[in-house]
Amino acid sequence: MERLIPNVPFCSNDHYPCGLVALDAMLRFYGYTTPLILHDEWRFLYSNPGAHVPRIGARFTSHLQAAERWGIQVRQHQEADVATAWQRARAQIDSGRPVPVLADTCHLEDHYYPGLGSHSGHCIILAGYEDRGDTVHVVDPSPSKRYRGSLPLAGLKQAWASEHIRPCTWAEIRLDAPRRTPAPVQMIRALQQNLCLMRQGNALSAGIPMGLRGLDAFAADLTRWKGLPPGVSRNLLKALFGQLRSVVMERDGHSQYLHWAAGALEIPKLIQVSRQLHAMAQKWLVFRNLCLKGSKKAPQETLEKLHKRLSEITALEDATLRRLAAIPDLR
Amino acid sequence: MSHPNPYLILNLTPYLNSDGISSDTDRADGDFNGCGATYPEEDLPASNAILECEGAVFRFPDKTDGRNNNMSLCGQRIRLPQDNYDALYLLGAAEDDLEDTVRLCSPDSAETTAFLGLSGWSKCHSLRYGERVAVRCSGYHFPSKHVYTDRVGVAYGIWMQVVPIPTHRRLAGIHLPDNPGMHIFAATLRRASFRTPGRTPWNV
Repeated sequence: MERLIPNVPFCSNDHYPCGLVALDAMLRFYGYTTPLILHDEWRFLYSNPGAHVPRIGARFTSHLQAAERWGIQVRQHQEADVATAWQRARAQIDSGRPVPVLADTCHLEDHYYPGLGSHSGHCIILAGYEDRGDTVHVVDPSPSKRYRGSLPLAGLKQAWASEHIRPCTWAEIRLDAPRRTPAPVQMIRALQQNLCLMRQGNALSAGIPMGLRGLDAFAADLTRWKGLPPGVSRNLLKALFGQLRSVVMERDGHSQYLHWAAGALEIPKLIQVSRQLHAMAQKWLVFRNLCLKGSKKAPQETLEKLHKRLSEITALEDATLRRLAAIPDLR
Repeated sequence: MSHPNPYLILNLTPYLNSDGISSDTDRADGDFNGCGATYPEEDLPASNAILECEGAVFRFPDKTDGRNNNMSLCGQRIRLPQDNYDALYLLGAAEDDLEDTVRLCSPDSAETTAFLGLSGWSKCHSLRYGERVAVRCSGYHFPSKHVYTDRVGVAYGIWMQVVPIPTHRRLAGIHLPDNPGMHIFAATLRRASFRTPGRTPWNV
């Protein structure tokens, strides 16, 4: 027997971790416009518990929870052994549903994966099989790995059952029928909520300043960190580099969401806000790069630079929020 | 009257601040992206070679291990021989798709700005800002390994980007942005007096 599900797309978002990459590809396979559906929130969260590394984020809800608002449920399964996992995945493929699975990159390197021989979990999508050749058709939608082709089933099983990852896991995506689409009134409400949370910064959770207040709190800490020993500053910068990925991703995603919303709501002015969000994502990207460089050399000098950069970003966030608030339909 | 030499290859040596190339014998030399990865020396043009890309000419930097070979942009101000130029050609790539602004400085200190976009160094198949592929690599170096990307649909490389220059002002310098993820390996200016229809290297 053989089976091949065509048209499982790649993902083009550079900032997604591989789990979101697979989700993006799966949702686009089912005809959803992503990343729009995952990025209707515009948030900035900042939390500094004191002795620990501060936490920076872009949203409270997970992307999976966000997807649920659109009637998309993602269920993760873990099987007792790889034979059972393959049996269940194959049944999904037979029903025309591609299957995201977690595989060990080290074992994928024998087949296509360009890597460093280290063990780490990576999401790929199973989209077919051929019994005669004992092969499985795999799509790796990651922007830095793009692959579509056959793997020996034995090779896949080795990567899937590896003890270095959470073995034999796969994801099932269930969609509401009929497909849920947001009503204009819901979209307006989402934009109003974004505006409210970003401008007023009412913490949904104690000790987590949001929006512009969160940015101010971050700026205050950057000033304080200038006095820290270089080793400590380096670690902070390294941690910031990791955490800021979500901020870049969300600003860029929300920019695309607003561009789409401009058409859906017939509010052309949202396109200008969308452009500003895009510019903001670029500024955050530079900020993040500076964190990485600063974690390697000249951390104090970098903190000085970051402080200035953050002032520019805050001014742009503020100006963009003002532009959004000035749109009559959102008042 | 046309200038006999339309292109001015810029000497970037004083501005180089980053080593983004390593040889296969010492893959730990350099760090292009802050994570230890580098361009494979063996995939690139020879040190100081004149490289032509769609009519524009560049001098490729010295690739010797241990030497800086590109500018990680940090606000460098490059002085130019005063003249009318109509295009700035750059050989470079970025760590991600990055956009910023280049300031073009006149002798009277007036400045105009121009957009500069550079696609990520793995984006050979999906250049975002209209660049052309100047050099295509087989993959990248990591200290432990030459990572080949020939079995997947991505390819690393160096791109040529062009920044059009308004010709109503003489130019005395270029002020590059402070955007360390953007890297420039070589730069060339085209004199505005060089205008031969049909021979433009690119759509400037």
